[in-house]
Amino acid sequence: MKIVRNCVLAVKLIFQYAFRHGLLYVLVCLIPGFFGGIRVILVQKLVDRGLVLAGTGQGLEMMAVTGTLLVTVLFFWFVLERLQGYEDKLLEIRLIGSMAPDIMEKLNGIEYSAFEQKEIQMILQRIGGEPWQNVKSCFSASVCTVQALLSVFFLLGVYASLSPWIGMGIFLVAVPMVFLNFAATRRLQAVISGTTPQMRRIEDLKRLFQDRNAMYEMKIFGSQEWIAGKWDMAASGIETEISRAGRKVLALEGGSKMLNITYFVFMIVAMTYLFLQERVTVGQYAAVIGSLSTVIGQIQNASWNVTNTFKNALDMEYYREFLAIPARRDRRNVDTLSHGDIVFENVSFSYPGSDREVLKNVTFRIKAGEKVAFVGENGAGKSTIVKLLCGLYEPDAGRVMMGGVDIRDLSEEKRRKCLTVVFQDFQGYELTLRENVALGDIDGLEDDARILEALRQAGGEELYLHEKKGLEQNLGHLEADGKDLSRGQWQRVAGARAFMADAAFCILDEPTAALDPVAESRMYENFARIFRKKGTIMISHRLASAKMADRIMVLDGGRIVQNGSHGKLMETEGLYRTMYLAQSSWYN
Amino acid sequence: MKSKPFRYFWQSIRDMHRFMPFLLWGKLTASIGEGILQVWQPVLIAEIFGLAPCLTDANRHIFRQKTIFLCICVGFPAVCSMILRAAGLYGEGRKDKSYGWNMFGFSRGIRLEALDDAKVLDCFQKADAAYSRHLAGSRMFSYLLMNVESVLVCISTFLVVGSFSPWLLPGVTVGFLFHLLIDIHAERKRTETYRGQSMKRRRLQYFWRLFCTKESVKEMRILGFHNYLKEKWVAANVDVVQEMEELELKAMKLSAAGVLVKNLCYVANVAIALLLMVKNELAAGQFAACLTAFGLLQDKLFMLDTFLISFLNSYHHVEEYYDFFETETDREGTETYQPFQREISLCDVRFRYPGAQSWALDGVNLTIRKGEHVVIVGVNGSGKTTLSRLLTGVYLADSGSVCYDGRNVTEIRRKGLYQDISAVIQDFVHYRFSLRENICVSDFRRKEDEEHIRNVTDAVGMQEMIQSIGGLDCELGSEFGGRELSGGEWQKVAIARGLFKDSGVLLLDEPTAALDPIAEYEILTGFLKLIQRRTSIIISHRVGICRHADKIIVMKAGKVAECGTHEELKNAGGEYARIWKAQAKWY
Repeated sequence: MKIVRNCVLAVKLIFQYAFRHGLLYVLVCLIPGFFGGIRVILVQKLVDRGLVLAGTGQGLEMMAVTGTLLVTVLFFWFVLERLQGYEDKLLEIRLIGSMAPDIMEKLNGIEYSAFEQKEIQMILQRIGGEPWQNVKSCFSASVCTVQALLSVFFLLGVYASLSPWIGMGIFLVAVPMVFLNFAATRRLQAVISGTTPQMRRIEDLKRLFQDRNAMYEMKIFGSQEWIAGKWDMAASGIETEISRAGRKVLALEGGSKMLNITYFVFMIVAMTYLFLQERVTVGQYAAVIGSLSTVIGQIQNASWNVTNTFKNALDMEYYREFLAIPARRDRRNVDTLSHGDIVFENVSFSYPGSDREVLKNVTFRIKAGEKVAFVGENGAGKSTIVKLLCGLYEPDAGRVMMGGVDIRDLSEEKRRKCLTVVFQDFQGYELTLRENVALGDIDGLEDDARILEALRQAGGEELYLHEKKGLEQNLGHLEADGKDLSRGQWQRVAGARAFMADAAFCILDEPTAALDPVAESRMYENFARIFRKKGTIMISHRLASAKMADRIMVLDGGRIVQNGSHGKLMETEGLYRTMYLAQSSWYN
Repeated sequence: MKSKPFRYFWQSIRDMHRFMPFLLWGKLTASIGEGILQVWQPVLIAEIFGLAPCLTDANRHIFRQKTIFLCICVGFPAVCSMILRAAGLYGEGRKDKSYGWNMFGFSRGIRLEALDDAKVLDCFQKADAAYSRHLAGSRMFSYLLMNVESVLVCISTFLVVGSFSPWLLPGVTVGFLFHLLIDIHAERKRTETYRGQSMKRRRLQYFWRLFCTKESVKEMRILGFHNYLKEKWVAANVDVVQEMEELELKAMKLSAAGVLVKNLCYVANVAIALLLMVKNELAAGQFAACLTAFGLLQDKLFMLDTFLISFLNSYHHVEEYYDFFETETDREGTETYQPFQREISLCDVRFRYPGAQSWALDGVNLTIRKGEHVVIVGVNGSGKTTLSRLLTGVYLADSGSVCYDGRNVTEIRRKGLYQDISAVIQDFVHYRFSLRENICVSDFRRKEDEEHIRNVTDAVGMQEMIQSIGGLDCELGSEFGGRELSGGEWQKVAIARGLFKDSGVLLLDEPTAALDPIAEYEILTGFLKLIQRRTSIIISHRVGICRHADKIIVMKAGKVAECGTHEELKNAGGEYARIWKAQAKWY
């Protein structure tokens, strides 16, 4: 059922995105399906008439007509076959153009939390490949299967018209053949899905061997052999599984082949018998025997096509699942705020699929322009607060509000005016330096002065000062002239993005983790100046940064346990004081 | 770079014999059998048709015999195809164990610097796809056999037709050659265009993935550059697509011309055959056989065409697979390593990353004595991490020397040297194995040594975490249904990993970047005790730790700017004093 459903989906998608070419493909593919049978009839006629002509000298016109028809059919056969190849490529090209933007929109409409779910991540990983390829393959495989079956049945129908016996034989043989083939394909699918865990393990190990950090570790630790052992285990697992189940597949397919052979032998014997009995003409006899290898080819082709369709249809399942991912529920349409404060109201939260409550009834208010730091041990829930603040997740209970409006109801532009973020796992993009910085506020892409100023504020001026190409320098290693940056340099770029954006609040999650002490210190000094009027929310293990905040909130086990300025918190015995003393003890 | 065509051909056949002999010989046998029968079939059909119209009692038994042969001819390919199918399944099952293993084994020896090179990674991925997706060797071999088979059938049909009348030959030859040449030309153009577009395609793919990856999606949404990237993708895509469309259209037109010529030849041949029959130079049965042969020839030629192109394509994948083995490998030393007793010394070491213009290390001189605790500090990009990699011998100096007790690392057998070194690298690896394996990967022979594991995990304060995730044998990483750890927890695992290996030298690159202050304090003080007798080299932006070091090395622009103890350097008022002050003033 799944197979039929997915084939229908593929056909629907093709007609939705490339109607003209889809239709053309169907025509171009189906018409030649009849040519095999027509050829048999025409060859038979041609031979018979040729014999008559040779014997009596009569019927040259009829023969010429048949001959012309035969040649025309053959000509169109080949042309259409070529055209099919062409349409196949063109379909793909068209699909990329029209389907990809829709997929991007769909992706944009998915709830962010879905991106962090394991099952959906697997789907998205497939989407990250070339999903249009799968859709096209499924479509063309379905059409080709219809064509192949049509062609086989038509051809056999033509045979059947010569003798009802041969026609009967087809049905006696074809039904169990299809059944056996289907069973073999099903089993093969089961084998393949049975080896999926091992395949995934192998993929994972391959990733390690392409990763220079992993290679570094493996060399130092001499762990290559051990990891190779894991490879060997997974590969052997696949081998055993396939050879074990493969036998059954082969047996089923062998059965189907045997039926196939039986039928052909039967056909040859029957035709010869009928011919000897003079119940078929030389032409009919020649046409059938002469086209045997063609029909064998076509039956093989048909069974291959059926298998291929099954495979492609099952392979497309992920796309159906992708389309079924629910869209975001937030309204994203409010753009007037009553004030500029951020408010958490009794917020509780646990990640989807996990029963551990990360935030427990958290309530706080951050006034417009206030500078706040969140401090806490690893796993206390600091980064989760950032994610909720950005509206990436919906709290299980309570509300996250900006200016009196639920953050998830804010329009995108308004939210961007309200806050910008440098995430802990900030990304470096394989773009130019200019683009990398301007991603913070893409409207400023051409505003060199702003970009340079942002870079300077983030301590990244040497990134363009020492480059011949300046802002146009490609970063990363996608381009041959790309420049790979160190983690510390990327962090400066990410910081510059935040300075580009003109938002009321700037949220910085570990903004200095990869920076050297000098750059870190300069960053702190800059903060006070750059964010004079704006609010900042800072999360850092470097408590020096907390010291500059107007207010420090200390998280412990998902609750806010302390709240106050550095001076106040240092006066009271508590987590903050312990942490601060632990860190400052290194320096005095 | 011009290289000999088909230079990997024999190697790939040899490898197939080595990896999957059943596949090689099975396919070969089946193909030969099938080929012979297929060659025979047109001859047989011609004979049967020759006999059919003029059957007498005398030749009836020959007719019957030939018919039986025909049944065999028709039936045998099905048996062959079963052998091929079995061989195919066998090949599929063994590919990771053979071709994959081969690659895997080779990649162990690749120079670490090479993995910094985008080209090498590209090569890696291509080779991987070549064997795992395109089944490089076996597919090439199959297509080769199919080609040979088709050619043989074509030739035999050709001869049969020729035996009827030589007049029929030119038409068959011209039509076929013209068609084939056009298709090969089109395929060449296609490959050329694809290769020319590879850069653009990679870029498109890169952008596309950004839309599906959580880290980039997060930023895209918050910073709002979704549309910018989308437009960029669409614009880049239009270029690629247009080029492809033009190419396909041109190929289509050419190919239609080929078909036209071929069919005209076919028409001419049918006409000639008819003429010959009318002139009584061709028997009626032969005329029928001719038409059959023309039909067969058309089918086979069409297949030959496809097979030939597929063969060239699959050979291309074979090339990609074997090209990978040209990657630069480690330059191994020959001397056995003796655990060093005195010092590690660097003398005027220079190092440059492949493709980079400036020196990452520009004349470094330093000595680390056995048992010393050394801290390397310096601003971003000053060469700290590079220095550490040269110290361990995974990178080799372009000039100058890195010596252990006066013996240059280039001369030492690296494996022995590594046995004496352990490391916590900056971008440590998150293995999707069990927690135990994640720790013990540094010295897997001792992975059952519970006491040692306990000592190490105690030192980094992991007991609580181990309990909460359900023991040491809990799988990590959600890809295989295991637990996800936070950044801080992973960092503890990495430190435990580094400590677990009982080596003389321990290298720690930013070991505490993701730890909270309390954990940082506890772990650092804890393991400073644990590594008392070991030589340790710590790279850190947290300069506070320098007070506990025997020696501080200050890096600046690829050179050692200063070297000494905390007190000395602080009072010297140089680079170290500047870095120290920058950080300490906040506390």
